[in-house]
Amino acid sequence: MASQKNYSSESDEKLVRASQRGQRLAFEELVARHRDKIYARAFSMMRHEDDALDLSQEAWIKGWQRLKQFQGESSFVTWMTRIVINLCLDQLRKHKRQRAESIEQLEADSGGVERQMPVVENNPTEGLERGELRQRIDKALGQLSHEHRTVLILHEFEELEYKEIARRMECSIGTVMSRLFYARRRMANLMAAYKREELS
Amino acid sequence: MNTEFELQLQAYLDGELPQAEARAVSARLQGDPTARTLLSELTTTKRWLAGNEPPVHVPESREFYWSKIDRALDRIEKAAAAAAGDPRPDDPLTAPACAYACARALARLFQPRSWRFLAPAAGAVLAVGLALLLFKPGTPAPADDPDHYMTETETLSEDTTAFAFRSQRDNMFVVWISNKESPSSPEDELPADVDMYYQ
Repeated sequence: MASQKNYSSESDEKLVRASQRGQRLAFEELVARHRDKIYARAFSMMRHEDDALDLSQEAWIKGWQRLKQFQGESSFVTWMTRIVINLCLDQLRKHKRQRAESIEQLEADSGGVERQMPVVENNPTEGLERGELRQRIDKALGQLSHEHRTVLILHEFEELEYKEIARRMECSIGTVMSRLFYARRRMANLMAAYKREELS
Repeated sequence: MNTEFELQLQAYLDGELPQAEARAVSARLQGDPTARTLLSELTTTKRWLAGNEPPVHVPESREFYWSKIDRALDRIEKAAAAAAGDPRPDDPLTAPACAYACARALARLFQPRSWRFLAPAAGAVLAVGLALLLFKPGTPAPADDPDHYMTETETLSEDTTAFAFRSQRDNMFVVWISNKESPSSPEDELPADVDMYYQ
């Protein structure tokens, strides 16, 4: 019976084609396969479990609705990641919610704040195991504003160019560059602070 | 070192500079130890970030996570089918449209995320209460439309308005509560878990 077909051994490409024909079980397999990645991207941008769940599920729903538009220029998971990123960006735009963050944002965007940060000369991650390093990165990312974190994620993890980030975030390339610069310098200083805490 | 050069240095690191500018930065770096130190910090940061994104997993089982998506897809397909087959597609009170609007209004009302788990219970209590008030046995539906019935009703709060809607044909009863000061905006998206809020 077609509805009982086991899709777990099929490739993404085959599953996408079956989903495009309306096979929901094939789509379920795609969701099961990539849900962590899509959820992780939503969580990294929103830093809120419920928001990340809602947005990642909404991304899958939109993915299903737009499947016919997927032509395979990129991998399916890259395509889905772009959808969830856009949903997160929309959500962040809707919710400009933290006043403190806005002040920080204004200061950071006007430039100069990062100049007060000392340059970190020694690698603050030296000697850390991968798990510890990731934990500290996570902690430091959590201390950035949404705007700085998003630029950093899109550049370092999604490997998007300045121009593409500017387009997605609806800001200028100059803003992307200054946000990225601030985010990197702040990350370096936070990691150095964690190192000092560890040693003291 | 000014801000402009700092950003240029970063673009140099990211390979975003045209060749001529990259050569100029490279030349300047030779005689500028401060710039070299900053470039070293930026390079190190970029390196330890690469490939070390903290891993995160969906905090729900495969089945539960999928079930919410599956139900949403069912609703969308039903709404599409109903819209396609509805004899009065322009009627704003058709069941799918109304259910959608009610769900959005309720979702907005219970927006603080930590409250949302109370929403289904509160919605059910409200629905039952209003049903008792509004639909006493023998209450006739408007003569011109026996299938649809919608009415505004009083609420205890001055900040909200409530409408009750019943469709006999679709065997559906919904209560639509909205904030007077922040009316629904049509561009808002339907939350994925919206089925929690209507019945």
